[in-house]
Amino acid sequence: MAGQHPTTQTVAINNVADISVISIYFLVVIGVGLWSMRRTNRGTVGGYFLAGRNMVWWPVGASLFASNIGSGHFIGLAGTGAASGLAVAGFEWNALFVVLLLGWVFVPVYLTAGVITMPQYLKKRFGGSRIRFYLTILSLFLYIFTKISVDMFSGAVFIQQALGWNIYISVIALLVITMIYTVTGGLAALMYTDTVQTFVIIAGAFVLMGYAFNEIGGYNGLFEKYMNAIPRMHISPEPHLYNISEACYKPRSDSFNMFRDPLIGDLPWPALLIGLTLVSCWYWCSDQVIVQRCLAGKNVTHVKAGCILCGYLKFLPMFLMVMPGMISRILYKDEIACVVPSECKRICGTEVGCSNIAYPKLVVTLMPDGLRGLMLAVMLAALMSSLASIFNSSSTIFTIDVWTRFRPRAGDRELLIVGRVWILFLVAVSIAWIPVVQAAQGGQLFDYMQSVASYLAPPIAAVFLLALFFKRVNEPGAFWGLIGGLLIGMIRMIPEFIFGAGSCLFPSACPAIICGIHYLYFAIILFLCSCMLVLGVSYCTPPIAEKHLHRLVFSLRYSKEERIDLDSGEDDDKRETGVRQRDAVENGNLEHKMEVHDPAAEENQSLVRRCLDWFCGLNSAVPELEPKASEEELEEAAKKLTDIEENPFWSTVVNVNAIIMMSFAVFLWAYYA
Amino acid sequence: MFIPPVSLLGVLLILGSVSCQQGNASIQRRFPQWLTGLISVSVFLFLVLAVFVVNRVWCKDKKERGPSEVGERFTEKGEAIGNGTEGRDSGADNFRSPDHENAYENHIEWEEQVVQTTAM
Repeated sequence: MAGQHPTTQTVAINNVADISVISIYFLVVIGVGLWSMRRTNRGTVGGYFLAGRNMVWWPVGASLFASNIGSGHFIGLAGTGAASGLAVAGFEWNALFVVLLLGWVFVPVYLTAGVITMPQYLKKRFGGSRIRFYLTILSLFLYIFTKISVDMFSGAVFIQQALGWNIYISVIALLVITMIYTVTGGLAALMYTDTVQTFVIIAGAFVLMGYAFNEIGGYNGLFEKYMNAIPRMHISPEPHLYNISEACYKPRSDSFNMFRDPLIGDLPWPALLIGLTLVSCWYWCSDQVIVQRCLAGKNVTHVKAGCILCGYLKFLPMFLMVMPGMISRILYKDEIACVVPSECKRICGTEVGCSNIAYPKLVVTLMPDGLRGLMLAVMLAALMSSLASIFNSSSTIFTIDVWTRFRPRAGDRELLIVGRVWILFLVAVSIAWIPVVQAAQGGQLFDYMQSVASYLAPPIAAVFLLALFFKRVNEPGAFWGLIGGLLIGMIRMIPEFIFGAGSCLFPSACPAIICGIHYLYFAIILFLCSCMLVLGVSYCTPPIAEKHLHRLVFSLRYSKEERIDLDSGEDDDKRETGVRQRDAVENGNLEHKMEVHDPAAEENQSLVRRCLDWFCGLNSAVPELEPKASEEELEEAAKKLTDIEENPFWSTVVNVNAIIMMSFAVFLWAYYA
Repeated sequence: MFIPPVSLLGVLLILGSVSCQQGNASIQRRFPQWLTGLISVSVFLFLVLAVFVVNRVWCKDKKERGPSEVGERFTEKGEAIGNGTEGRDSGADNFRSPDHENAYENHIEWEEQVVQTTAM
């Protein structure tokens, strides 16, 4: 495929050093995946989807980081850094604070509520099933059309532009390896491999950063030379058609500032501080991919410590991605900062600009043999960890929220099989998505997809925040808030798709009243509108009695009262946490179920079938259930899982650490203000 | 009388073009970067301290109003509270009206809900 683009930087990795580095990397990942598979019980819903709720703080933190950092970050952060300077790192440094919000406010409530998925939480909090249904559909839609496609697109840019590999073979191979440990190991395997991936990502990116800064003459060199990184060709070859204004090829004068003009800046500071926080609230605090990692934590203190670790790691992208991107512009100003459409088309196959290849360009030109393989491993690590997390989380949502609705009496075994089949389905969708990715490379389809989140997410963030903090919010309020927010978001999203986002040379024809507002400002407006809708409708309709809300809202998180679940008669609410066993005993169908399954399975169990069972860890369910705990013990275990009491000493330690981390963050924000 | 404003206007015009030139060359900062950082960190830490202090005072005040508000904190520890000694020797006495001991509170309201030692 690379042959289609007359690229100058295509370098095939064919030397011994590179290939051995990549092979070692794959062996380590698969090894860790297999090792962690043996460590946890994968035969139950709690074991498979929540890693047995037994994770300590460092896999939690590393996994949060690795799920978040995808190949899109390497391409996008470096590219935007090259195009417009430091401010894009605000996206990362804003998340620092939101991830603390997750650990200190959201996760304690989710834990005491005893939920596995986010739609399930809303169902418990508000009752009814339309909210759950809506959020399930919206989440799956966002995963497939934004997260998976952006990651696949960026991975494709790297593999295709820089290495010249066949994209189908490499992506399919990648997905198969990801699938092996996602399907078989469940969340535990995922989190341990994520830890390895985090090490690889950080180590490799540090090496590249070192080479890059060395090339440019150190940290000061970057700030001295960046402003002069102007492409040589910046005069329009066809003046009768278009002119090229200075703003399109010169570095912005506020390139070294994080806080930019609230009216004319490309990332105005109120938008960066408030609008982005609202979008991050959805991403970090109410989205399954991130929250699921926290729910797997051993207890609240471990989750909080994991969040702090993730926060510290989030300091790095500024130095590991944004600054190398800017360096890339200095070193290869004619390519990265190209402005003449025909020239850009020649360099990277896209007319609107080539900032996307900033990071791959550095890798290919600066790194020696062996280290280039390491950088490929870094990109694969970022891609695989994010994709695996999305696969796992969407299969959790599908299993818990969709399948149990169709088949409320489904046993553990059935649910686990369904979860795995769903992952296979998603992998197939991702592979089918490759041609679309390739077709879209010339256009800007993926830029729209990035901004889709800010048009769809704010209502979800509003509903979750209000659900947590206002007892008065009820089901109609939440539902109409979500629907109204969706409609307002559509008003902005659809014209943008129709008119296109435009480029610096050819601005979009979209009327200013719709598209003129910065998209993060729009997120603020959308959030406020949704809040008003939710509160307005809630106050016009009867409230939910407090007996239904114990341990579901923030102010009642320590409540010990018995909670009467809304619509508790329904069956699909029965299996919620790792305490599934207790429910099974209570329903009296545990022994019955196992008996139904086992004899039939033993009779016609072929070798293939047994291998498959071992592969999926399904047979381990039987011995696990053998020593049947007494009812009191099960009650005790259930209490322990939803318990959020903390050891006062360690609680103080994490609190102090959080304040230290925030101080660092505030310092860096102000340093680059 | 007319000369100073005109010359001022001239200076302002020149200033305008000068500041335009500066915008391209390098960013002029009012403070060095590290100083901005330190200032904001100290402001942040001061805010944290303020929140901490307010929280302390508020929590004590809350405790003072009666265990029914604080949930199980008292009963959990199994603490017994002697009759007539409720809520003494806590710093929140300072916030009380000196005129009358119960000027701000209604002791009778929560006395029934606490484990109390009686002379039985």
